[in-house]
Amino acid sequence: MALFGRKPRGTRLFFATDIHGSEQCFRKWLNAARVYEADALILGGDITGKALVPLVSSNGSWTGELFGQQVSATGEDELSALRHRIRMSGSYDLLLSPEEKRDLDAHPDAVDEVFHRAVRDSIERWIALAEERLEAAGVPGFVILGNDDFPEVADALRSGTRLRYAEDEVCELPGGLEMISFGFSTPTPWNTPRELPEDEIERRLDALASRLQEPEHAVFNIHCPPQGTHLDQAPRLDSELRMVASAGGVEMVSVGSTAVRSVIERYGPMLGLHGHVHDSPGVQQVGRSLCINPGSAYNEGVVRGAFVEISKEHGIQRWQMVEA
Amino acid sequence: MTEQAVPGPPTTASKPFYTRQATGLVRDISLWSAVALNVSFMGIAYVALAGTTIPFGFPGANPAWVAAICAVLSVFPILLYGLFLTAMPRTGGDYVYVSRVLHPWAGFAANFNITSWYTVNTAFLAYLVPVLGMSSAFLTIGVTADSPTLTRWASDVTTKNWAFGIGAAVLVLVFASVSIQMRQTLRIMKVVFVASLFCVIAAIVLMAIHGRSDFTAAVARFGGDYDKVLGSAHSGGFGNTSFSLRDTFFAMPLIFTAFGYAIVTAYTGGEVRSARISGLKGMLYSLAIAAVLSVIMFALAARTFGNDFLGSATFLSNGGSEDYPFGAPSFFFFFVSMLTQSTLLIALIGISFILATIATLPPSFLAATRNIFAWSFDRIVPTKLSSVEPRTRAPLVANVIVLGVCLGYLAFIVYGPSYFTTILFTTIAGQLLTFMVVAVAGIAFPWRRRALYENSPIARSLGGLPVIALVGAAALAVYGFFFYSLLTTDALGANSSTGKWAMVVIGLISVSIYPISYVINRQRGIDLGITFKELPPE
Repeated sequence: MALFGRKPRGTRLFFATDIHGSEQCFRKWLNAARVYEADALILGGDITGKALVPLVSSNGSWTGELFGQQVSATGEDELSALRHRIRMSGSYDLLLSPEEKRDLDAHPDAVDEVFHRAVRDSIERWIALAEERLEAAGVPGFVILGNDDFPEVADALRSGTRLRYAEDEVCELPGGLEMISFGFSTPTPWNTPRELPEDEIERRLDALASRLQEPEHAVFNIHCPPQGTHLDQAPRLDSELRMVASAGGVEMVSVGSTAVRSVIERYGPMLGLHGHVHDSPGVQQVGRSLCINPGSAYNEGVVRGAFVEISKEHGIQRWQMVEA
Repeated sequence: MTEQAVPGPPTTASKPFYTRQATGLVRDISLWSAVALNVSFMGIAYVALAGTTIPFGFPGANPAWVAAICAVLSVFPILLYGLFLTAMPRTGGDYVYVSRVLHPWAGFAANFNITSWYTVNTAFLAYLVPVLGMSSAFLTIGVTADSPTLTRWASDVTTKNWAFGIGAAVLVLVFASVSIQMRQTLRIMKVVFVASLFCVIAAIVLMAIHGRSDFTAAVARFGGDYDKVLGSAHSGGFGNTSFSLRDTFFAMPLIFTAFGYAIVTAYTGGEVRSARISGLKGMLYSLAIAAVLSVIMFALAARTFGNDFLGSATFLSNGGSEDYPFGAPSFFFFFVSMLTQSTLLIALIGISFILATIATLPPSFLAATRNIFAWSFDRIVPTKLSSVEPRTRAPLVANVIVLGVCLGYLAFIVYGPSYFTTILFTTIAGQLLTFMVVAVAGIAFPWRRRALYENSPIARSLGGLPVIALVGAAALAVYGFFFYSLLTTDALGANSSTGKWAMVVIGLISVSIYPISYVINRQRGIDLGITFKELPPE
């Protein structure tokens, strides 16, 4: 598919984020290299899933619940298809005996360990797939963790060669562009695994940006969006984590980071790539920088992404949001 | 976002799935918040308008039955949106549904069309503030308090220049309110909404305690003669008012204008999906509340005012007849106010109705702004349109455009050749064109986006056919019937040459912009065709 016609092109980046364990979205992201003729793929944080769907064995068949509906599979082929469907939706499948299921229900603390195992297995599978696809496409892929990802996932990601773990690094993109990446967020009501206070985020980002040779020509791949923009609007929640709504609408608040905004305004990179707030896709100029949050529709199996064509000489040449 | 999304305290009950602490796993909004949200969008002003326009446009209709039957039929369109929003919870409406399922061109055209009609509607409601709200309040207070000044003002505010000036001031006020921070806008809206409910409660109480003889006396007090109004209208050509099932069915689009907006909570859908339709309970409760209130008001109005009188008075008022005895246009809350001689109560009803009308404006305004942003992010319109003011994050450029378009439409409404009913019903017909496209997308969804459909919670069949396709077909039939009704009823004016031309012109603009933008973007190296094109998932 010829995306940008005959015009002289810079480095073409394809960015997606917050796929939350959706194998369908991950595969689409990988295929974007070939279909869109991208020079590099970037995957923002929050790559791991949030839900485990147990399938319980009974008399040679497996039963569970998906989207509130009873599902069952008999035989290997059906089981394989059901597990595939669960993975595509952004959840992890978990095969259990009735005894194991009862035990897990009775001991919620054990769920955490099961989650870690499911995430690790999934990430290992994804890395193998990515290495194969990116090698075939001849492009690098860059991935970071978000606030929702377990920190130890980074160890698995560091084993990749074509798929590079980019966090806390200055990475060189095709075209000689520099990119820094950072996946922590400000504190959330959910107490997720990777959160930091604003001053610590600013300190770490400063340290990272100071390693850039030309920050004004760099790409800042920062999971949390800059505060007070159209990229960071989320519903306000009450103490019960319910959305606050009344006559006139749902109350929206900024949930981005002031530190991220401050660093972007100070260093003025060409491009800011963000995620974290799924319902706030948008593009906004922050100081000298074009900042993009493509949003996320991972649970629909849809990749929301953004193309950016960029060069040191001409800055941002083109950008386009897609829902693939 | 369901209750199941957040892990509860440990129990031994079997859990269908396990979740971990992760961003975005939030619960539904409470049922009553959802109801308040929906009802605030449904618009008391529309119900009030239906109170006089149904007896006028469909003399044989029983308005209470119109509301009851329309509420039942409205379940299909609401269910259609509910199903779509469950399958695609993070999308934001018809633009994405139609773009994904049919084609981005169809998605944009449908969305541009309805956005255009939103702006016409916004201008129309701003026009109602002086012409119906202020005029009836001034006249009833003027007569009751024996104030010739207020009585004169009742006529003055309906003159073209005053109507435009006040309507424009209302629009600028709305522009200002949506250009401040969202939190402040919602605080204002909440107060306005609560205050706007007063006129409904007052109307029900006043009509319940006053019968026909009280109203006949009130008409005399205002210088009229109840029977003469009926006689003049019928001798002037007003139709037969004996009960007609046809009229009862054909009048439904008039009340659907209010009921059709019971879908707003669906836009708050979340990311852990279940078979329960997100917010459906809130939508249906809102529809039921609006329907019950409408039925009560219309039944009481029939008893106290008489449908024949409401239709006759509106017939004379709309036609500018000299036999129309009042100094303010025929209007539901005007007649309600005539039932009391308390100037305070009349003032409160008047203010409450004005606030009810104003309360519906920011949501329409914001919907138009939001759609402009979506087109801008998708590069169909210039990116400048989605720029924001850095301090308040207000989308000033988009807001200014919406304000400018609304002011243009207001000028057309005030100084143009049409009766205001023509504008109102053409607006409904114009919006129905978009709703019909959405219904077609619902029918096509299971086949056009098979993977998305099959991996969604709505993948259920009835008699071998996907439920959403059946619901889409039912909704299309409902929309189609409403559209047919509007285009075959001369009294409503949607089939006037002005109405038809307005629909054709806006329709043509809607379908023209995308291909023009496509060509311009292509020259700049941007392919709009890939915006919604699915990547291979293997």
